[in-house]
Amino acid sequence: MTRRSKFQIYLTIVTFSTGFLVATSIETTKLMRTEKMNNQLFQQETQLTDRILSEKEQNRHLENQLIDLQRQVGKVEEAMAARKEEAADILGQLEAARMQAGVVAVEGPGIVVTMQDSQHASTSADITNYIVHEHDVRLVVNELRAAGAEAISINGQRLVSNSSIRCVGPTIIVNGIKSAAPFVVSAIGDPGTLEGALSLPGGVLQSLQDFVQIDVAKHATVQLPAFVGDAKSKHS
Amino acid sequence: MLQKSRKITFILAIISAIIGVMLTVQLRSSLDPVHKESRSIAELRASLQKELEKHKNLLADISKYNQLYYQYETSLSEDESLSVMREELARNRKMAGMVGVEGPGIAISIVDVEFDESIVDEHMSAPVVGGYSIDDEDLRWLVNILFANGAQAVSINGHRLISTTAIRNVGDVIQIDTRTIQPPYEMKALGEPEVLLSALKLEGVEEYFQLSNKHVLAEKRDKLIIPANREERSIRFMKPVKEKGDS
Repeated sequence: MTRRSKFQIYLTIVTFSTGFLVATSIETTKLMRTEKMNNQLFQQETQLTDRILSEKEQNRHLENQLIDLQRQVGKVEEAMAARKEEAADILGQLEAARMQAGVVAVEGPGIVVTMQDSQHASTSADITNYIVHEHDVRLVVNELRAAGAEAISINGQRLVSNSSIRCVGPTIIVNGIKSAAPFVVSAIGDPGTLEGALSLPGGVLQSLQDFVQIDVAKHATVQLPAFVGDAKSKHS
Repeated sequence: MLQKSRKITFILAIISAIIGVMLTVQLRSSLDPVHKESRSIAELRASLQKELEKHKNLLADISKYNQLYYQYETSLSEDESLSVMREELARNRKMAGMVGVEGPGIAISIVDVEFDESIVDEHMSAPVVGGYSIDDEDLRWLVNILFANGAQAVSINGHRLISTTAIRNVGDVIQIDTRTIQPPYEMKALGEPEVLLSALKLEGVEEYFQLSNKHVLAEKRDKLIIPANREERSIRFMKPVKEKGDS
């Protein structure tokens, strides 16, 4: 009888470890496969990141080239203006039109409005109340325009005559270019007037302040980039 | 007796094998969870797309300025280069919205729903015609949809919208910059008519305005004329950046 129960105990141990072995080998092959996949993903990721970086570098290069070119054109135009009064007259109009069309980078006094989801957002039951929506951004932009802002950009995207502002999740899409929070609205104009317009009693600042984080800062000079891509048929 | 105990042994063997397998699986899966990284790949693809798009745009801009430079350089007389400059001025004024434009597009009018007496019985409170008014954000929202779907120029009641145009409630009326507009609101949008019309459907514009008892009538036009912006704006604060910026 004792022999028999001993035998049973041995058998238990042996089969137990056999099971263990079988499972381990299966799992290991599976793991190797996922690891291989992960590796592939990782490789893909690094490749993509590399391409993005090189593309960015190239774009920066191109941007500088464009600015240089604009300056060259500007020099030629100025030379012409110096020679002829008529040309000077046209040049004045041309510069204004270029600035209003948003195709040249501009600078001047103005304000910078930074909007961000409220810190309450993660703890609050009703999250939608505490995040920045596209109409909040539009509201601020609209108020700045009404207060006489001459040029506005959002997260480095210059607003032109057919720009749109869209929000998808936590990102904002302006001129078809996506960027993440915080949303920074920069405007050139009389800083006092612009700030005053936002902070009127019952105004934009007051109505938004309770829900989202919004900061307004006056600056002596704000630089706004040019809108890029006016040559092709624009779609924003 | 012998048979029975052999059976027990057999069952015991199977059970312990199963337990062994289960234990291992459990251990393994709790030790290293498999990472999912496909999301970040999608994000990376999107940002690459963005950079490529920008690249294309930059190249287009550069070739445009190159052409302009070339035109200036090769013009034989002062008059010729002056006319090049005038052309450039006209092009920029057009982009700024200071010149009227025409082309295919859609016309939208937002009108009151007609009061239909046959539907109304005494239990239903009749909607006040024109009682629910549209506010500035409604118009801004609609305009934004148009621009987001490729509209190149939009006007509301004949007022062309440009980069500095504000649409806001002043008292009971809506002002576009300094000019007051009255309902019914008529919009014109230059762009691909089919794209714009399907965008209106997709965004539920019709349903949205129905809430304020309004009908949205949108139709395709082969030829649409959108006037120039008439607002006088003097530039007082901004000037072109001459030096290379950090940005």
